[in-house]
Order: sequence, then structure tokens, then C-alpha cells
Amino acid sequence: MRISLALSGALIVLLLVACGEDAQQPLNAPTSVSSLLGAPAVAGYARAVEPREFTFPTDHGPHPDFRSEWWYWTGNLTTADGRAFGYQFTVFRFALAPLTTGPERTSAWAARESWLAHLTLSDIAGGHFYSFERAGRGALDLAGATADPFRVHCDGWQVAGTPMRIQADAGAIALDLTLAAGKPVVLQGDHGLSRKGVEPGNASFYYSLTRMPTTGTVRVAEQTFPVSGASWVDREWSTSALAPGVVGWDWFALQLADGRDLMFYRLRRADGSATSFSGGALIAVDGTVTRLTADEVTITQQGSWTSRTGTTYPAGWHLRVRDLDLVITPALADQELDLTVRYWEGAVKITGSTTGVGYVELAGYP
Amino acid sequence: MNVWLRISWRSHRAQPLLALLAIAGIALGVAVSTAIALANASARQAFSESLSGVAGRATHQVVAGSTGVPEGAYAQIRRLALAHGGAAAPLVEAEVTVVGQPGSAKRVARLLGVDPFAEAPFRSATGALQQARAFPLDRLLTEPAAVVVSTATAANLGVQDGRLEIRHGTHQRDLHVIATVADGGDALTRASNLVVADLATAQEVLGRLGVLDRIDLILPDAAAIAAVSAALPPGAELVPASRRGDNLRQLTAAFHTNLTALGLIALVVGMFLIANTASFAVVRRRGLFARLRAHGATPGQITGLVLGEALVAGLVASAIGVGLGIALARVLVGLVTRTIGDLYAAIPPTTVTVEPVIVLQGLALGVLATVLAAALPAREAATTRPSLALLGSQPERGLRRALPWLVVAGGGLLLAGAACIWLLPPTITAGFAGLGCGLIGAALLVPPLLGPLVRLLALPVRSPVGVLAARSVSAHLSRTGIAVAALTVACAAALGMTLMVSSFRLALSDWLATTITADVYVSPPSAVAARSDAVPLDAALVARLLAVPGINEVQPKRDAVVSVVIRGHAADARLAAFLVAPARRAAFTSRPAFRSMAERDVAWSAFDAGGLIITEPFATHQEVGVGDHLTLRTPLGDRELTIAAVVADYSNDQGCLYVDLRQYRAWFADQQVSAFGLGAAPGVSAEELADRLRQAAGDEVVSITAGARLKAASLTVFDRTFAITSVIRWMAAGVAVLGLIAALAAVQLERARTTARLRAAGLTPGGVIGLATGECLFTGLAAGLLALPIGIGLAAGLTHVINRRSFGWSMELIIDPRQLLLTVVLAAFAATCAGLLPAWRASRRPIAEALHAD
Repeated sequence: MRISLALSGALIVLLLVACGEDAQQPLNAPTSVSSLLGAPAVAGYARAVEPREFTFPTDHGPHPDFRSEWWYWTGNLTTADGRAFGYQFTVFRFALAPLTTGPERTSAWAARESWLAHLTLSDIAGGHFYSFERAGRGALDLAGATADPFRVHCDGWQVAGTPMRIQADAGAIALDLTLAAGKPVVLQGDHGLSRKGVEPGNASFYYSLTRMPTTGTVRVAEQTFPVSGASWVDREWSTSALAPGVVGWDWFALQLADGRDLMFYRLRRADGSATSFSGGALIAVDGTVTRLTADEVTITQQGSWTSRTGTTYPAGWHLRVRDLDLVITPALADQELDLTVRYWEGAVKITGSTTGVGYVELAGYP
Repeated sequence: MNVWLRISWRSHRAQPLLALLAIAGIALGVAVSTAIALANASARQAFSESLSGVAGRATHQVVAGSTGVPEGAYAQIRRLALAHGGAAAPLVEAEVTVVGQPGSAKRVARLLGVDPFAEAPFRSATGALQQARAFPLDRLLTEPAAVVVSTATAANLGVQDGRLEIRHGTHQRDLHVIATVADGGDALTRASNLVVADLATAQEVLGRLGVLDRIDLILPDAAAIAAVSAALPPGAELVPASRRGDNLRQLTAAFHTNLTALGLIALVVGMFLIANTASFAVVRRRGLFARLRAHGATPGQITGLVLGEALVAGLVASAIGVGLGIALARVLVGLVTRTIGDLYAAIPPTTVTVEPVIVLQGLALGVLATVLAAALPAREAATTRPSLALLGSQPERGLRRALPWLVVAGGGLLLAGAACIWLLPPTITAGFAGLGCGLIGAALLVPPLLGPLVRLLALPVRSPVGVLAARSVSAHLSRTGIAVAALTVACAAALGMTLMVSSFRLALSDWLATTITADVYVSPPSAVAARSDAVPLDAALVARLLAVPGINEVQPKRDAVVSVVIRGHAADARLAAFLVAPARRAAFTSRPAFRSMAERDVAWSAFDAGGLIITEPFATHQEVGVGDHLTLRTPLGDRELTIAAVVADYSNDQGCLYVDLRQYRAWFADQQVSAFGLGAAPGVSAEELADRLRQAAGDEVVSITAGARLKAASLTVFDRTFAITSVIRWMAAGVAVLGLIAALAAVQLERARTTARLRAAGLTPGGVIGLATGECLFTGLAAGLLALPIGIGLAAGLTHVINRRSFGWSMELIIDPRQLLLTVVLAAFAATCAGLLPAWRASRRPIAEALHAD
């Protein structure tokens, strides 16, 4: 369950105002997730209705017959002397029109897809959160994705090759990370079919690579730090909208010190309660997956934090499931992305029955 | 009421006509100069805004002439710019003609193809787009021919039901306006007639597949500039973003400067007029002031009275003048923008912006000129001994004493003018300064020359009334001298401009006769009348047209915009590549540039071998000549070329490079044709061939013109260009005539007692009119005659100095005797008419009343 569900092609226009110098001009309203949850036309696109066969590396590449798709990389990294960083690199693909409709175009610039990428770095010791956005059309090598050789790129940022190498820089920061193969692919939901609502087809195909040993460098201003750690990759594609009544979600990707990984997402109603389509998975050291249902997991919010934009987010959680009793705390309070779509996504620290690190995404908060 | 106010009011109420004339004179002087300044500034601002809306915040641009930048180079250049903290945005743009209802005025729009993902740092579209949450970007990107315009542009261009039909080159396309955005106060929506499309759409509509017209860049530092420079594809160039705007501004700079100069001429005439009316208002009441002095008024009080009056009159008249000027500007701005549109670039319809600075300038000018003009006679009136003043002869003697000084000052100014032209660097401003000095210098010489000239004119006159009339002209110099000088300047300015324009027209017409050698010309219709675009003709259409029977000669031509490097300095240049059949060469180069046949043959063989022929304006602006080298940027690499000849050309004031078409095709790998001339086979008339071609063209939008018609059309554009000149000319003349009426009326009033004595001595009312008319006739004749040398000098200056410096072309000054005669007749006629009303009034006045007046 990731942020891009909230974005539709028509809203890319906000890039025009959100990028560049004009970003300081006030938008007439923040782009809240719930305001974007209408039911955009889905005719002409494929839909996720029943489980499918996944094949790799083909499925690492794009699925252009679905309306939207994303590649999500997050991870916690440290230098040899223990300085901690969190990073997020995300590429979203949005179809502007179904592949099958419309006349032939002759210009090489003609595009049926728009691409958007987010890059963040949490400099935990430095107490600073950096976030950037880029966008481009799926044409002329400006943005796009291929399965073999693997490459996902948007406006100069890219992840390419096997093993995956992330190369992205903006402003004061730069990432150059190599992700080694870790645990095997985890097919989320029902063999990779992740239902988001009662309506058939209101679902996505969703798989994860939950723990990929990562090495490389992080540059902050003039300083380059050799780092190592673990990354988490989420892949999802769909043609669905959120079910009625859902205003946002909390998503947890936790890498525990005991070698287990935990993914859980909670689809929130306006009153804060979770819908029955919330769910997750517990991945053992050997990669064995245990599905978690909504009522198995108890999450209690611990305090709150209000951002510069006036949005109030939870400032910690108490999560209990099976033998785990975890206290989850943001590594930095301010990890809000004030970009085309405003949301909070950041590195977290875990204490409690076991320790660990992870990433949390919070969407749809007022 | 204050006694001084009452005195002032009474003295004017007695002669309301004179007071009104004085006000009208000042108002007109202010109106004309304000109108020209406002029209000029408004057109300039509209042009500038239409540029900045498109240029945005770029610091640099990658351009490659009309060939365009290969689109494949963009991704790499963008990455480099981003890596250095900069930004990049690709653009495809063109001026397109909007196809409206039949009979409606031609409208030109600028189609701008942008990549919305790259635009934000460049052209702020925020204001407009913020209003529209549901702005259909997906439709803009995916629907062919989809465009967005501002609400104002939609109204301007007559968009109905979202349809906008445009023409570019020979292609006509229906655009689909998917959204209109309200004016957001930003450059993009403020620039009127801007049609925004996705880059892909623009490429498809304009037939620019595979290329970009430019890449806008924000490059923050030298490292970024170096990185992008190193990644340029062949033929492309990295230039400061200001260059494009500079180029376009330079294009119209000469035009605006010339217009400003015309305004200054009107201003000089206006100043003379203001000075005349103001000083006369004092002179007329010399007796009154003398009596006031005799009754104990101090000189300071008299001066205060006069200056106070001048201040009030100046303020009132200037305010009226500014109002009139704003109204006049609304008429003039249409002429100005049409000329720019004809000659240089599409310019949106412009409304007059009332610039406070210009309004204040107009007011200040009127008030200052009035007060200054009144100051000298005021001092004189205040300090003259009352007994002398009552005699009425002192000022005349005073002016006569000043005559030698006028000669010295006039001569000095003439010399200064000559120095400006010959000794200063040859800039347009120095040229105008020289002409201005010369004109004012010559005007100062008018009063000293007037007396002797009129006496000379009166030599053959035997009638006593005639002799009396001639005598009285020099007797009233202090009243009429300045007015006659104003009339002389106005006539001289009119004559000078007429001679220049007619010489220019003759040169153009001769040039067209040697250049238009084909019977029929085929070209895409151009958005700017006097400019050929680099839009190619459709290849299939060319094949179809050339298959028409009755063609025995084809002269293909390719127009392009190219980058050249001259002495290490890069510049844009127009290039025309063509084939000239040997038989046509004699006609083509029968130009003054070739001194001998041998030189011509050498030039042609150099041209055949890849040499360059440049036009005279290019040679002037770039300061190059035969034998010089320049570097031509081409997609296949740089090419060093030698200038083989310089030829006359009046079609483009920025100049043009001529190269052999075969060479061009090899250098640019471009086989397209922009236009061609066709020779008709024996027995087929040009019109017949044109008709056949039109039939073959069918529905394709292509302009097919017989050579003779093309010549006529070129001359029409020329005449339209100078329409504004003639309007201003007549305005200046009108101001002068009005001034003259005021001055002559004053003289007649002054002489009321003398006239009455003459009447008492037996002069009939007819005789009075004859005397006054004769006086005016002599004055007018003298002014007209004096205007001739000044006008011819001005024409020579305009032709050989201003035209050459502004546009780079030379021509012969042809002095048409009919124009000279016309000037003298008009001056005499204007002066006589001006004198009739006061003369008629003087003749009707009862003798006794006149004798007892004052």
C-alpha cells in the first residue's frame, strides 16, 4: 500500500506549480490523499482480479497495461563509525491514456505515461531531512523502465542492473548504492494479489524484497560517507482506487534484529479505525512468509507531531503481533515530504521485545 | 479679486481669440510629441512583453538556427544542467497565422510547444494553473492538436467551440483548445496570442519532427556552462538567453529610434510655437505694462504677472495637450504596430498604456517652454523705460540688435551638427543629434535672413500696397520671426522626409525590377508580410507544381536562419541559398556594388566555388567587406567562408547571406525548398502560369504570385511603412500653421492703429486685406524658400546618414523639383490662409474705434 495510489495522471499538473521557484507560492489547498480518491475512469486498463503467475526478472519491469505502478526503495544505512542514514527512492508510473486508444502519434515526444520520482535522505545524526521530486514523460529516454536489462529511471535518477544500483542526486545530497540479493521475493496478499476493497479488481499486484544487503556511498553537502545496511523493495501495480470510506493508511516495513521482517498496512477510516482489508506478512529468516490479518495486529499510537505544513501525524506506535511487542519511534520527527502529494515517510527505530530499524509511511492525515 | 489677476483677466478677455490661440498652440505642441512618445512606448512594451512571456527565466539557450537542435541531444543536456543545480526545458515554437472568418483581419499567434514536466523553473504558469485543479494535462499530452490558451487570447483569436484553425507554411491545421486559463498575471498569460501545446503536438503541427527550436537553460555557474558547451551537437550553439531578445529588440530599435526622431521634429516645431505664443502674449501688451509701470508697478511685479500668467497658461494648455496626445496616440499605435508586424515580427494588438513618465514629460515640456519663452520678453517689458515702451519701437530694435547673435548661434549649431555627423562615431544617435543641431541652427538663421529675402522678393513688386506689405514683414520681426522659423522648420522637415521617402521608394522599385526576374513566385504564406520564413514547401506539393505545363525555368531558393561567427563573435543571420542561371546573372548583379564587369565575373566564380555574397545591410552592421572571412555553423561542422561580393538589398534591414543552393545542400544536408521562381514558356503569360499553378495546388495554402504583382505588393508594404511618417509630417505642419495664424493675427491687432490711419488716409477695406495678405504671402514665400535648402540638407542627412546607420543600406538622393515647388506653394498658401482671418477683421473695424483703441 503505497502513496502513489493517491496520484492520478491528471494531478501531475501540480508538478507545474510544485517544482522550481514557484514552490513557495501557496497552493490553494494541500493535496490531501482523501481528496484524490474519486473513481477515475478505468476503461481500457487491465485490472488485478485474480492471482497471477509472477516471473522474474520480467516482473521487475513495467506493466504498462495497468494504470499505475511503482518501485519503492527504502533502507537504513550506517557508516563504519555508526552514523545512521535513512533513504527513500521511489519511481511512480502513471498512464495518461490507455495503450489501446487514440490515434498514432508521429512525434517522438508523444507519451502515454508520465513518471514521477521522490528521493529523500534522513541524516539522522545531522538532524536533517532532505526531499526532492522529479518528473518526466515516458519518451526519448527521459523516464521509463525496462525489465531486462533492469532499469527504472526518471529525469536523470535511476536504478539499474543486477545487482540493482541506485544513482540519484539533487541539491546537497547524492546516493550511490548497490543492493545485493537478500531474502527471496515475497508475494504479498493472496499469492501477490493484494485486495484493497470489496469490489473485484479493486486490488493490486504486490511483491516485496524485504531485506537486501546494501553498500555504497551517501553524499551530504561536500561530505561523502561510505555506508552499509539493508534495503526494502516494494513493487505494486494496479488500476484501482481506494474503497469508499478509506481516508488514508499507515504502512510499516520493519527489519528486526532477530532476522525477521514485518510488513503491515492499515487502511484507515475517518474515525481512525482500520478496515478489514488491512493486512501484512511476517517473513522468517529463511524467507518463509506468514500472512497477518487485520485483527491479529494491535497498533496503538504514541503521541503526535505537527509539521510546518500544519499536518498532525502520529509520533510513535506500540505494535503487538504474536510474539512481538514493538515500540516504533521515528528516527527524526520531521520526515514529511511536502511535494506534489504531501505525506510522511521516514526511518524508524524499534525497541521492545526485539530491536530493529524500518520505514513507515503515513498518508491521508489532515 | 487680486488686482494683478484682474488686470491679467481683463487684458485677455479683450482678445479672447488670441488667448485661445495661445492655449491651442501650446496644447498642440505638447499633444503631438506626447502622442508619438506614448505610441512608441506602448508598441515597444507590447513587443517586449510578448518576448519575455516566451523567454521566461532562462539564462542560456541552445540554438542551431532554423535547422534546429536534434531532440536526441536534450536528455543529456538536461542531465548536465540538473547535475549542476540548473534546469533545462525544450521548446518548439513558431509564428502561425490564425485562419479567421473570410474578410476578418489577419491575426498572428505564437504557438509554443513545451514540455510541461520541465517548464516550472522557466515560465511561471502558476497563476493560471492554480485555478484549475482539474487541468487536463493528460489530454494536453495525449490528444493530438490539443492546446491551451488564456481567456484573453481565446477572445482575441476568435476561438469558437474550442476550435482554432491555424496556418503554418503551406499547412493548415485545426487545433483543439481543450482549456482556457484566466489571466494569472504571469508572463505566459499576459503575453497575448500565445497558444501553448505539448512539445509533441507542436512538433506534429509545425512539421518539426526530430528537432527542437531551442533548449532553454538555467546555468548557475561557469562549470555548468562549460559542461553543457562540451555536450553540444554539431551546428548547435550555447548563447546567453538575452541574445534572442536582444536580436529582436535590435531588429526594431532602428525603427523606434526613427519614430522618436520624428517626434522630436514635431517637438522642435512645437517649442517654436510655444515660444512664439508665449512671447507674443507679452509683446502684445507692452503698452499695458508700460502704463502699469508708469502708475508705479515695480519691474518685479510685472515679471511676476507675466510669469504667473505663463505658468497658468502652460499648465492648462499642457493638460489639454496631454489629453489630446493620449487620444492621438490611440490612432498612431495602430500604425506603429502594423509596421512592426509587416516588417519584423508578429506583435499582438496593442492598446495605449498611459505611461505616467511620458505624461509628466509632456506637462513639464509645455510648462517649461511656456515659462522660459515668456521670461525674456517679461524681463524686457519689466525693465524697459515706460516712456520708450509706449513708443512701441524698442523691442524691434532689440530683436534687430540680436540678429547678429542669431547668425552666430545658428552658424555655430550648423557646425556642431556637421561635427556630430562627421567627427563622432557613426551611431544613429549621433546622426540624429547632428541633424537636430543642424535643424535648430538653420531655424535660428531664419529671422536674420527673412528681412533681406523678403526685400529681394519684393524687388519686382511695383504696387504701393505690395511694397508696404514687404516692408512691414521686416518691421514686425519680433512678432513673426519665431512663427516664420517654426513654419520653415515644419516645411523643411516635411520636404526632407518626402525627398528621403521618394528616393527610397525609387531605389526599392529599381532593386525590385532587377531582383524579380521570374514570372511567377511560389512560397508558403508568411506570418510577417515582408519576411520570408524558413518554413519549407511540402515536397509533394513542389513536385505537383513543377509538373504543370508551361514552365521553362525553375529558380529554387532555400531560406534559413544560421549561426555565424565573425571575428570570434557569434551572431544569427538570415541565409538565402539559390541557383542563379548564368543568363540571369547580369541582371542580378547590375548593382552599384560592382564597379566593373571584371569584378562581377570574379565574384560569380567565387560564389560558384562556395564563396559568399552578402547584402549591404549585413556588411554595414557586421562591418565586413569583400575578402573578409566568416565561420558558418552547420550540422556537419563549421565552415570558413570568404565574402565574394556585397550587393544591394532593401528587403531585410538586418542583412542576409547568399550562398549557392548546391553548396547549402551539401553543408546542411537539407534538400528542402522554401520558395521558387518560375519562368513561363514562350506563349504562356505569367498570369496564365500562375492560374495553372493555383489549380495544381488545389486546397494547399501556398502563395502563388506573378512577378509584377509581387513588386506591387512589396511597394504596398513600403508605403504602409511610411504611412506613419506622413501622418507625423502633417501633424507638424498643422502645428506650424496654427502658430502662424496666432502670430499673424497678433500682428494685425498690433497694427490696428496704423491700419486705421491708412484707412483714414484713403485705403479701402480691400486694400487693408490686400496689404495683410501681401504681407502673409511674402512671409510664406520666404519661409518656403528658406525651407528648401534646409529640407534638402535634411533629406541628405536622412538618406545618407540615418538610413545607412539604421538599416545599413545606401541609396541615391533624388531631388524632385515638383516637391520643391510644392513646398514653397504650400508654405505661401498656409501663410496666406493664416493671415486672411485677422486681415478681414482688421478691414471691418470702424476707423474711429481703431484709432482710439489702446
